[in-house]
Amino acid sequence: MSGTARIDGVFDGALVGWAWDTARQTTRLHLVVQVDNIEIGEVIADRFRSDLQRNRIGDGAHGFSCPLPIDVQDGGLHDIVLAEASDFGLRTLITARLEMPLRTHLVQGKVERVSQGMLHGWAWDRARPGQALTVEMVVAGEAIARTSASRFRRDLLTAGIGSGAHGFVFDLNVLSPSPMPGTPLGVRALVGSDCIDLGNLPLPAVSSPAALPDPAAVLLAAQPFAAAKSSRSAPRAIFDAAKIKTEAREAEQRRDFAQAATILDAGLRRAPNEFDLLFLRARVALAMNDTETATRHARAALKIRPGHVQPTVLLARLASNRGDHAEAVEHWAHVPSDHERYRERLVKRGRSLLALGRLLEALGEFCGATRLNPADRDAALGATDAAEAIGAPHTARRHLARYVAAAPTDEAAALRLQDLIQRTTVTPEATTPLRDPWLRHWTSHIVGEAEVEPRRITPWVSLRSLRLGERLSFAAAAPREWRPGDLPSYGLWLSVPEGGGELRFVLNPAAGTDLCRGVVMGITAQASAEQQCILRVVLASGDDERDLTTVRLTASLRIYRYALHLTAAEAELLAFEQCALLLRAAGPGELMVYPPQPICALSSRPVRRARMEAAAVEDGLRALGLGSDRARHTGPEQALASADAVR
Amino acid sequence: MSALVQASIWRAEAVGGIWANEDENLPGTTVLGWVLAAATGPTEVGLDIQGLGVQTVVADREPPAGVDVPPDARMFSWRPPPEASLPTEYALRAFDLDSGRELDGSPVLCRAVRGPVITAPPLGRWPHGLAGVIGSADRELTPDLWVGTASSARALRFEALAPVGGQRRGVRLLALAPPVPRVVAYLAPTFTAPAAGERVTFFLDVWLPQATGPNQQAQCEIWLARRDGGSFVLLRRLRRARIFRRPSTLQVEWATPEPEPGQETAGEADADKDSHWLAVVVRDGPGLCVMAPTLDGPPEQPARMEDSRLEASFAALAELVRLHGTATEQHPLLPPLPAPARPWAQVQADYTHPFTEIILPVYNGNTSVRDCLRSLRAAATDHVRVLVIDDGSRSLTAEMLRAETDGDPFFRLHHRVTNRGYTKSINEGLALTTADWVVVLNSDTIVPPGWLERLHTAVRARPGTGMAGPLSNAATWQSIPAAKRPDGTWSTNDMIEPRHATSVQALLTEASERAYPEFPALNGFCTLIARAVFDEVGPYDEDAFPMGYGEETDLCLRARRAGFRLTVADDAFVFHEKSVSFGSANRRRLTRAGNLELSNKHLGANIGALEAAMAACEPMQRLRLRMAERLRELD
Repeated sequence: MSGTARIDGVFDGALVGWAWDTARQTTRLHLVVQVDNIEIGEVIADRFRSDLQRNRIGDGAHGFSCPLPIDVQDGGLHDIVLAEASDFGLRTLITARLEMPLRTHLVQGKVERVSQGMLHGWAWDRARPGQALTVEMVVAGEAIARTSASRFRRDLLTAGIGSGAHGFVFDLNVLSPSPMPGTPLGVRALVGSDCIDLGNLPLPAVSSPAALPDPAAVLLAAQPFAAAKSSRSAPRAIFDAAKIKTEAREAEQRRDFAQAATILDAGLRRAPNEFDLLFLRARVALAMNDTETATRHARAALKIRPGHVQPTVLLARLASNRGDHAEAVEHWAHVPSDHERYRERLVKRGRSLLALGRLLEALGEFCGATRLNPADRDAALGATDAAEAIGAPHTARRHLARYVAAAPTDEAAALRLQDLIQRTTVTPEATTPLRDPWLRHWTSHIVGEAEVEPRRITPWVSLRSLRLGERLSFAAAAPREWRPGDLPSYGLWLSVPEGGGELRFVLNPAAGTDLCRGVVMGITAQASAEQQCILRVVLASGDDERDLTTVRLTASLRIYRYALHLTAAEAELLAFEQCALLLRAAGPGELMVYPPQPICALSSRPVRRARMEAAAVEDGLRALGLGSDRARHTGPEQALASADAVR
Repeated sequence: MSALVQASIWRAEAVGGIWANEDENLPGTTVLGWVLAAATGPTEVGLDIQGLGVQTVVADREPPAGVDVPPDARMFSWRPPPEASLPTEYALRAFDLDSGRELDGSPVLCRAVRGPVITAPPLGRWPHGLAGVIGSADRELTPDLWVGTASSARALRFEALAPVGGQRRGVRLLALAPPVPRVVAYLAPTFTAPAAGERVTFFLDVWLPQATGPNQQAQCEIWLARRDGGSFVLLRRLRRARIFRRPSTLQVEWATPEPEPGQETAGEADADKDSHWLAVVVRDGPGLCVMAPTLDGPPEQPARMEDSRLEASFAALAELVRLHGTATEQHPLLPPLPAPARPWAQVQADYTHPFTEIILPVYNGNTSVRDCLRSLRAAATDHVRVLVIDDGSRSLTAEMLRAETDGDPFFRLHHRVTNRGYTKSINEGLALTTADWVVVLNSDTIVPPGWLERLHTAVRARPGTGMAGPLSNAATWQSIPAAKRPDGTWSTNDMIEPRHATSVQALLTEASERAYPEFPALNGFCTLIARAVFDEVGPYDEDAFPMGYGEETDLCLRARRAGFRLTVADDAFVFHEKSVSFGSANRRRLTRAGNLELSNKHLGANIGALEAAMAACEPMQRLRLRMAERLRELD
């Protein structure tokens, strides 16, 4: 087994290379391509390449080209593994790390021909085979018509162009002003903000509408006998209309829309105000992606029978397709709840309302569709979008959960649900030792001054200056995420006056059990570069106070640990929110401090083994009041001094 | 409470009800209501408030006795925040969001009472909270800041920005499903509008909140807007610019044209001055960050060149030379290096026996962590202490850590219950240590005796060194004997096993020529770092690299920009078991996110060129050959 392989690179959205086994020189290797450990395709290395032949790589037919999914062509580095699929499983031939060129689409398409006054062609985006591209006709650099490439064509399907529904047709007869014969008609596809040219064709002279015989006249001329007969037996218009309707419907069912349009146009020339003909013509025009004709006829039909549902539905769809959401919303509103299109109305009107930013109404429509059918996926997804845009994550989560239950294979939705669950799951705020450790909701300005009278900045945090006449300045500052993805919590910047200042954090009665068992807390703080600042952490319960720790702040941000362990008496007061953590800073000075955070439970620490020597050193240092700073270069003792004060 | 007992008859199929409550103690209208409880989770009610847009309240209160509502109902109440800009009379409609139905009694006609005008500094009052997630509709965040986005965006996360010590504040808006076609922040100007024929020049700091593409830019437009109740009309564009991940200061001219005689002005100069707002629009980006507008421009630097653009390009080029060339390059043409917080001379003087603390973040991984701890213990000297940061590991690992470290003064265990991610853990380690030198060490390593002395020797050998790293079996360009496999992937040199750490070190001691080469970046598995580096360039960047993946390269590049040298101790070996800490799909996502942030943060850095420099290091190539020879005798 001696396979050799090479990856030449990524060209035009496909991984290109060759693979050959010197021990089996005529075998075409069956390869599996993995990108970042995910299998993205299988390919047989059997393409002939003259360069391989020149370099004596077998007979040269060992090249391969494997189209890459769009999501890995992001301009980043990716690990590519080329493996041979043999009877013994996968055998890695080569691995490489490649920078993929950035691509946002893989558009292919062609302008094919002009015939019968119609420009035909096809276009699709291989990266998004399920979506129809929008194509524009360009004359002299200006877009003059736009349609969507979504017509089904069997020849496209057999040629492997997605589902085959990627054809497009432009009716050159409706263009006004009509371009001069010989003008090159260009077509381009719109992908995001990009335009991709698909080619152009000159407008042939015969396609001028004036030069063509009126198709309706041809049709009627071919049936002079029938027409003459009908004129005798019944009112002509009615007879004509019934017959034309039947013929047009038949043509429509054969998907021969051009024929149906010809028949209907002929009928409409006779009876321009016939509702059914107008409506049918509009429907046929919509099927041909001729939105302008469709809109004109549907409007005319609606004028004859105001409030009729069928043309309303047509107009609504047309408006939705055009992106005219305001009009779509109006039309859809006229579809009553007993109509068969009511479900479509709810979902599509909801989408349009969402696009217009009328979120609550949109939610109402989606919820209505859900009441019709609780397993309706579109409705559930729409309701999720609406609820999330309103800013109601809990409701969005419930709606999305319904969608995921109905569509368990949709991975993107599952990820989104995970994200919503993370956002709506109550972080253990309820059981944090402080009532408000995040400082996200301030009842007053986030910058200001406090005097001796405590100033409440959030419902559970207040601050004050400790000397009459002096003012303590404060500001919310330096947001940081406690965990990645969390909303940030805020710190406090304080300018402590002469005499000192005090911060008061009310303790949380809900965390009573934890606090009675004991919690290791950490306080993160920093002094300004010029001054050092001493911070005392005090537990206040009712009128009693006891010191927990005293730290000397430094110019770099540091974490200081201390134990918080309530006695039974204190726990009683805790229930009445009479317990608080006080941070007392000796002034004057500037400091930055974050609300104390719990680190772990005190009880989770096993009892330490006797450590006579170390404990003595530790106590000694503490008795001397040595801050960690002075013990900085002293080696092992330093570690002890800054070790947790927890025993 | 008396107002609660309202004689209301709710329809049998009603999902909820709402009524206005006038209380003589509280001016203005309070809205009270009830709604049937949702099956799971809190029940939310959507309020459509005329002049304030859509807001959500959570109905979470049990109905008090005597209130005539169904037994499984939840109550809610709403009052406008005191500064809310509401008309004196406004309509409020309420909807149950689970069923999409309007509540009985809706719409309610409410009265707003103007409270005393509280003058807040710009962006100084956040009645809806300093951070949160809101829907995509236009919404008031503060009395002088509204935000909105194209309605297709799902939701927007907002955070108040408040740098330490600075008096300026701003807002960070991040779309939860980026990129979005349009994100807008409407800011009330902090200065008066220019009179007709006059102009005002102001400055705005704008940048992108997150990197979602390599070398990303987005189109930013500053518009003059007029506020009209709860909506805004964009009047005219004042400036267009490209913005980046790094902040840009945009200078904007706001000139009010002279009104033409006999012509009505667009209502700009003469209309109500309060209705003029500035709209910052970012198109096709992940969101935006903007600081409140100010009239003070950035401090003027003494110009070294006549053309400021030329000077900017020259500065970028100089930085590039520093990054890609020798770190301490002192060329007369290059601008002088910033003076380090503590000059190296002092670091050198302290050097003889520097006390060093090892920061060892641990997240699960039982046996390899235990082996690491035991090897550290075996290699322990008097001047080393280990800080183990347990980043919320499973109880098995947590228990093992406790058993291994308990009663041993050599170890300090910082056990935390919540998992905060790798970068936050090492930053926490930095805040918990004080030594002048720290080692950031991965927990899947094995150290041989004498490893730290060798690292320090390398530091001493190359003056100006701020960071030093050893060789290993799996540490990208610090790997021996092979850095890469023949196929181009990173080698893990599988012939070296954990038990070989000491014997490989012995072989390396023989083979090394002790060249102590300088590298442009070091692998993050084991790095000796001077605290002077952190004092100078700040800690690891936990905003851009929360889960790791790029944070060490970022620190290396920042350290080199500040003039520190990065040295490889080519006579020290530390075994590295390349473990997998995240699932493959997750790792791919994180690596991608890290690479994007790195490419956006260090626009000038060419990672390929840096790698080429490391690959071309001659002493390392010679050493690899010699080691390949010697390692054949292993076992």
